[in-house]
Amino acid sequence: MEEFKVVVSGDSVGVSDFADFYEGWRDPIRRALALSTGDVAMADEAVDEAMTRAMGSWEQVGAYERPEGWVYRVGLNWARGRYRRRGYELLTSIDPERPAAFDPPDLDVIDAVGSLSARLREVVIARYYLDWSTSDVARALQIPEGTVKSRLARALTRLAKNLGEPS
Amino acid sequence: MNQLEYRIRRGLHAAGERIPESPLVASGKPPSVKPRRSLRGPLAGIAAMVAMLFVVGSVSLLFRGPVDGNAVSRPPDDLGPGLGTSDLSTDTTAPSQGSIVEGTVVNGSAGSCSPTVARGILYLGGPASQNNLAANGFIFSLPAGPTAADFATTFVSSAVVGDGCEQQITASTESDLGQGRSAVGVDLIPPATRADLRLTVDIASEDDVVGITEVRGATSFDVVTREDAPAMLLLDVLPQEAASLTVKFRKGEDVWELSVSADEPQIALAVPPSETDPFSDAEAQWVLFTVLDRDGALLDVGGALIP
Repeated sequence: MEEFKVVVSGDSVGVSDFADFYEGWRDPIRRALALSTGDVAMADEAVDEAMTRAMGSWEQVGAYERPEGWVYRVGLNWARGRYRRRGYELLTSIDPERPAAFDPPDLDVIDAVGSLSARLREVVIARYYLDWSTSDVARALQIPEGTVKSRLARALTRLAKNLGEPS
Repeated sequence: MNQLEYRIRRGLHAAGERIPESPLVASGKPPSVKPRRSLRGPLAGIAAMVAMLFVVGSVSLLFRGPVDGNAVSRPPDDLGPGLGTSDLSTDTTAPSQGSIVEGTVVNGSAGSCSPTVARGILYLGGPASQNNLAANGFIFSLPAGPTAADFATTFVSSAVVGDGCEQQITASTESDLGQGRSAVGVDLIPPATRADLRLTVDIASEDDVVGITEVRGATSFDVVTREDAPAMLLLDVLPQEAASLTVKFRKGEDVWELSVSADEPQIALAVPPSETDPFSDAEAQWVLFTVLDRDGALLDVGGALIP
């Protein structure tokens, strides 16, 4: 088979590692971004934006212990910027009226997570949807692990109250 | 993990699974060229969904290769094989602005095969120019000079046959004025070994501009800058296993997506002729493409930020 290469500005870009990364992480990150922003279409754009930036800096990003954390953070930051430029706040809740709305089986959980502030929600999604450890979440979001833990604690307290669960 | 955490995790995972798929190219689905618009408010989603039905791509495509203005206009009875790729003949005159190319038949063949195939520039927009007409309603506007049939035939001859295979090429246009569009179909005689990448081009005329509304076929490409406009340079044929290709690029506020999917044996790239959204004047910021096989496995991904 003829090898299919991408040639950018005359330089052959070895994308095999990135291709593996892209295939493995695009979808989870996209879904995590959708859950974090409550906006599936925004998540589509954000993950493409972040993945393209990752590719552009793959020599550096690919060397990270958790490149997916970098992509998640870049996607979140990009989405925040988009909302800001448009004069809208990052969603304070996951709006079921939003398009391409999904149909979560446990609406209470989605409502409760959606009612968290964006900062808390991003940590919750990374921890419980992406299943990252608190140290991985800290690396991804570039915040101290202690901050991750405190945000998680605050989030869980609120979620417990909203869900009627013992914390 | 306590009960609360378990419930959150389970709820989020279940919700994540319910998020609609975002296949790079859905095999078997109609090909599309459409911008995905981000949402601007609670009702914007509905608007965005509607907008997707009325969008336009106006990426301009120009060949710098065999289409060189040497194409000779001839009467219909002056057709015949034996012409070089750069010497393809056509029996039609250049379409006047506002007209639809009709009844065109083009014959040609070329020399020995070579692994090098089509090279052309797929413009990503930018300022309108002679080489980048970027007209509304078309995925590609035709550059001045070569006719639609020249364009289609050369595209096919080089993309499918390669530079100089001993193939006879026949192209003809068919008009469907009821649909407001015409098509250029190209046949290779005998079929080329790369016939799975056979390519046809649909052409339409609207508001005095002739443009391409549909292209079937694909090549890989390079991201370059031409005349201060970012462009993709078409390079090689896709690997045999390639069944679909998606090109996305950001231009202004919108991400545009050109989906190319194989539908035995053709690969199609299309835009609904009714799409009317204006194309942003902003430069493309990045381009990202993915190539999948028939099972949906990723064959390749590439792209670049465009400085």
